[in-house]
Amino acid sequence: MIHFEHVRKQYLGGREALKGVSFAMDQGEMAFLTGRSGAGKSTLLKLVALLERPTSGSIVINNINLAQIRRNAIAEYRRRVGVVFQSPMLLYDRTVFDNVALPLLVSGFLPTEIKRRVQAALDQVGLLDRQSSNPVSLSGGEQQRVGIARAVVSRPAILLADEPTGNLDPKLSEEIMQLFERFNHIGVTVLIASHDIELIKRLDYRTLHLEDGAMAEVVV
Amino acid sequence: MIGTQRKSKRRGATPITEQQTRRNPQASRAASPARSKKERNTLSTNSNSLNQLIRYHRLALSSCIKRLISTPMASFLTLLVLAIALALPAGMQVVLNNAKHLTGELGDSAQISLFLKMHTPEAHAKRVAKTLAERPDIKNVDYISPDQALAEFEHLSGIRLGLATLDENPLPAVLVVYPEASASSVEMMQALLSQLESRPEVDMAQLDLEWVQRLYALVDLAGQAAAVLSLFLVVAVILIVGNTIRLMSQNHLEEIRVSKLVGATDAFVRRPFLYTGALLGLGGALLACGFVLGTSLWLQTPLERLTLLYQSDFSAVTLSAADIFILCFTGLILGVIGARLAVGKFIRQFSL
Ligand SMILES: Nc1ncnc2c1ncn2[C@@H]1O[C@H](COP(=O)(O)OP(=O)(O)OP(=O)(O)O)[C@@H](O)[C@H]1O
Ligand SMILES: [Mg+2]
Repeated sequence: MIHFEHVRKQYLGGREALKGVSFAMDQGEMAFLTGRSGAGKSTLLKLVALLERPTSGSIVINNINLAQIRRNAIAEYRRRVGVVFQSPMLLYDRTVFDNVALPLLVSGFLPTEIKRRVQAALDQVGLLDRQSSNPVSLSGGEQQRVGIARAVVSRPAILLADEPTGNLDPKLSEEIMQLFERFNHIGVTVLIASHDIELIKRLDYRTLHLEDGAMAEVVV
Repeated sequence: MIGTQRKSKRRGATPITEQQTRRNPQASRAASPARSKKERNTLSTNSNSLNQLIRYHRLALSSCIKRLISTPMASFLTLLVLAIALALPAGMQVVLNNAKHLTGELGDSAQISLFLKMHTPEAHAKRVAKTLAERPDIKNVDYISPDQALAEFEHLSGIRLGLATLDENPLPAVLVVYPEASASSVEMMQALLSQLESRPEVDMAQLDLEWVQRLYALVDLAGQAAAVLSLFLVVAVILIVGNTIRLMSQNHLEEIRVSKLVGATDAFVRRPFLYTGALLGLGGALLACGFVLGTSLWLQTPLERLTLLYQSDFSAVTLSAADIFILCFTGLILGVIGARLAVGKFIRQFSL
């Protein structure tokens, strides 16, 4: 499902964030991505979601070589990958509902379908009763959950989460992880970047460890 | 809730079509199971894409209106500036149309006087007048006998010569030729003049065209100046709309960034801005029409009174329905062009 081979990423005028990373994930697999701050976790997730292009190396997702996706097909690809961003990236000029609806709006869904799916997604993250609030009035953890609802609302085959439990208390972190597990059980490939060693140990999934831009797999 | 995986296993490497099928469950359900999968996909994609396009445009229009309303003062001022920029060339066009109309009428009153040789018999002169009047480029010909000419002279000059004091009338008979309006251009009049002058019974032909010629030249010059000025104002309209859109897009940076992260195409991001440009251009044009119509209505009475002094049955012209349509269409197109230029450059910064 996800296949990296000798992937390097050097930001414009910046450091080399990834230095030849190779790894693979099967379809329907769930894994954690760990590493110190600045190790390149966010960079790796951005490459999978085609939010950045690699400097060299090949990335094949679901049998599609991302290098072959041209500029005007990037949008179509991004719709098929759900991303929970490290910062929630919400729009504060509209309601929670409209924030979660955004991926469906850009894909041209029917309004009735949008309503059904957005409410289902908000229900999953326990925020259905806040759907008409402005995100500003939500706590950090609640905003993060809105971000999760937005990532899953278009039912992507791949779900990437960048520190999704960063702002959550242990009980809520646990619930969110269960939510990811549920998506994984119905076949979604899930990759979660996280610092939460306790949680990772408890959950017993494969762990990919980044050390200064290089991959070192750890089996806990 | 998230149940696409089994489908995606089956689908292999055609994710885009698959997704479109998923987007319109009714269409795929309606398709008979006997149809091949490929056929079903194209079917649902076709019926889908039109509705989807309409949905996209409705969404863009509503978000464009929301954006315009969210900054009412700025939107109104932009509209006003656009209206002024569009009203100027439209107003100039109206003035020019009136001037052309007016010079046409004055050109109509142009006439050629043929002074016949002395002692041309009256019967012959009248025959010539009749032949000339039959020419297609001549409207009619008046015969003025030497006696009439003398009477008119005495009347105008106030000097009573009286036939008694003269041995004979010193004035020749005159034919006054009125050219057809279609032949009243300076070149044609001059050609007609030289033709008439070469007739044997004509002693001298006279055409006082200088002032008409000057007027024509003036209107011509004004027309050229208006064309150049219009060109500048077209560029101004594009720049005004472009600048407004650029300022507006700065207020929507975050929206654009997040939309692109979750899979918005460039076209999706661009559309509301294009609608904004179109609406501003159209609104400015309508307002400009109001300005021009109001002004010409206000000026109509004094203008007609003025032209009455010149014994002309001139009636002022203003914007026609076709003019209004052209102005609105031009405003709309210029608005879209301005928006497209502004937003095209801007969107590229969000692309890989
Ligand atoms: N847009 C960018 N431009 C330039 N350099 C960047 C950019 N994004 C990241 N970097 C650099 O790339 C390296 C890896 O960054 P990345 O965000 O992937 O780290 P991370 O593992 O996600 O860290 P954290 O745990 O703090 O989120 C860092 O040194 C960072 O400074
Ligand atoms: Mg990070």
